[in-house]
Amino acid sequence: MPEPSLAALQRWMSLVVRHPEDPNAASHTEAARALIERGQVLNGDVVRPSPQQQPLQRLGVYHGGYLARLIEVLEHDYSALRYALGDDAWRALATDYVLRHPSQHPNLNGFGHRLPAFVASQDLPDGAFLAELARLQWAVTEAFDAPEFEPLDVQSLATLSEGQWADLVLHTNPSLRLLAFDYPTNGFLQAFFDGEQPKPPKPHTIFVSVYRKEGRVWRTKLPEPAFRILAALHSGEPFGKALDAGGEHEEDITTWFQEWSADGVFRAQ
Amino acid sequence: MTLERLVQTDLGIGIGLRTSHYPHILEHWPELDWFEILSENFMCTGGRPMSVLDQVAERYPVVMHGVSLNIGSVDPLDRDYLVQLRALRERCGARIVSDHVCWTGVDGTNLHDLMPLPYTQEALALLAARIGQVQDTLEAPLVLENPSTYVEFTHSAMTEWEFLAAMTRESGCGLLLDINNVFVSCTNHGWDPHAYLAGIPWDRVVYFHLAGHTRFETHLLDTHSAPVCDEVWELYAEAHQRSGGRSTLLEWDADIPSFAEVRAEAWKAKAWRGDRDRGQPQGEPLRA
Repeated sequence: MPEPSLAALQRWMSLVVRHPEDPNAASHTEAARALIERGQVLNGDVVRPSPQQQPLQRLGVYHGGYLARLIEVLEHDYSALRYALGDDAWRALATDYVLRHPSQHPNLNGFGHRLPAFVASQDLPDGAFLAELARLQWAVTEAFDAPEFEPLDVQSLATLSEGQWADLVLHTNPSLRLLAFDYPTNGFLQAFFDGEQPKPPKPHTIFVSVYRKEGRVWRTKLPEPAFRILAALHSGEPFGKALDAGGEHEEDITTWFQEWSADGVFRAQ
Repeated sequence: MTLERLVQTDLGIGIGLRTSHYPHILEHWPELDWFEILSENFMCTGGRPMSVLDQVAERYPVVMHGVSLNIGSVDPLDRDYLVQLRALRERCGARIVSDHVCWTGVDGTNLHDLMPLPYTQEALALLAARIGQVQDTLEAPLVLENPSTYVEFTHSAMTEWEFLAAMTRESGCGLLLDINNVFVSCTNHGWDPHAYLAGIPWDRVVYFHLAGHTRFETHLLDTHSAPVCDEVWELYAEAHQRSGGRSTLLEWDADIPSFAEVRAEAWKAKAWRGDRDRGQPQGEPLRA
């Protein structure tokens, strides 16, 4: 029996390690058998048996580690989602996600980026709320990992004329995420972090900004007009036009702008 | 920095830089010879981790240790990854850049595990060529670690230590000898750890890793979740004698205790290596 090439061996092991059941089931598949015949494996022609383990059992060490490692990454990013689903439903969801979306990047920071859409595509009890919760938790992860930035020094704007203010284009910091929710998702997440045991809430529209300030990620609930103005600024609209997005709330803009500036929501240009 | 200089530079006793220790480190700037970072934790991120690393790198020698170079894969090398690796090295002034003798994925899929290679001429030729490409990009020697393995390939044509020696000879790379991995692999495969150490090319060994493992009924698993066991300490003493002394790093990555406890475990190495008074760490950063 010819020995497998390095390419065939690696492709075969990759199939075996990522199979949803176990190495034994994997070795039966057509794709695996096209690379290495099952008989070769069982005979010990590929992996040498140890006194304690047959070849497929030895491969099981890698198989078990693959799934466990990637689910652990998801649990780190989606702790509240795991709680909201319950352990069994979470395990099933996370396993399905890992198998459908194998990692293709050397860094695991972004591995969970498709999970919010994946949750939304599933038929789950409270599915709409759970998808929002996943979006919020992913926004936190993104804000944490966003590039570094220098906050805007608002004193540099002190001498602008009214006309210059109207044309001013501000740049939001790269960690800022703006989210509109049909459920009070932010309150649920905060209650979870506070050690409470919140239940899936009833619908109630909220607007949230997520951003990083001095190394910590903050979630702030915004009034809808403030959200609309900040979203317009975030999309690159000049200050004057962005104010129009907020409707008849110009009297509050000074307060909001001061809060955003103090929180470093804008970056230096 | 040449490989010879790396081998001669004893940084002392270090530990892995871990998130749970950030508050303690930033508040106390504790006594420690050096830190090793997990390279990928500081690639594709710009938040607090980079800020912490900048501060740490100002105060301690830093070594970069990666898990995703995929040096043993039949896939093409990831150029973006190499560019990021070099940029990180320049930013933190890392003294050493290391990874593992393994493959981590194929056909674009990353398994995020240190997958074993067969010890064949085909694997050796592939490694030697790719190590050369990496060293050309980094403009510095690459240092590779023996991984813990849980399978042994029937068609391997040489022992692991013979393979490592041939790899360093043919590629010019350095060796990071993980003493716990020697013990884990030798136990799992029934090899003699003393024969393993006797076959190591000591003039290529840049530094040592120490760690704990977990014992299962059928095998040992390299979990980095426990203190170093006595058998590994004894092998470390033997490796220290054979090498004449090398920089040493304790890894603790799961169920991580306090900084003080991890450092105390690392400092046990001083007794095992004879507690030489080394003074200040020597050598210069690997800045391009």
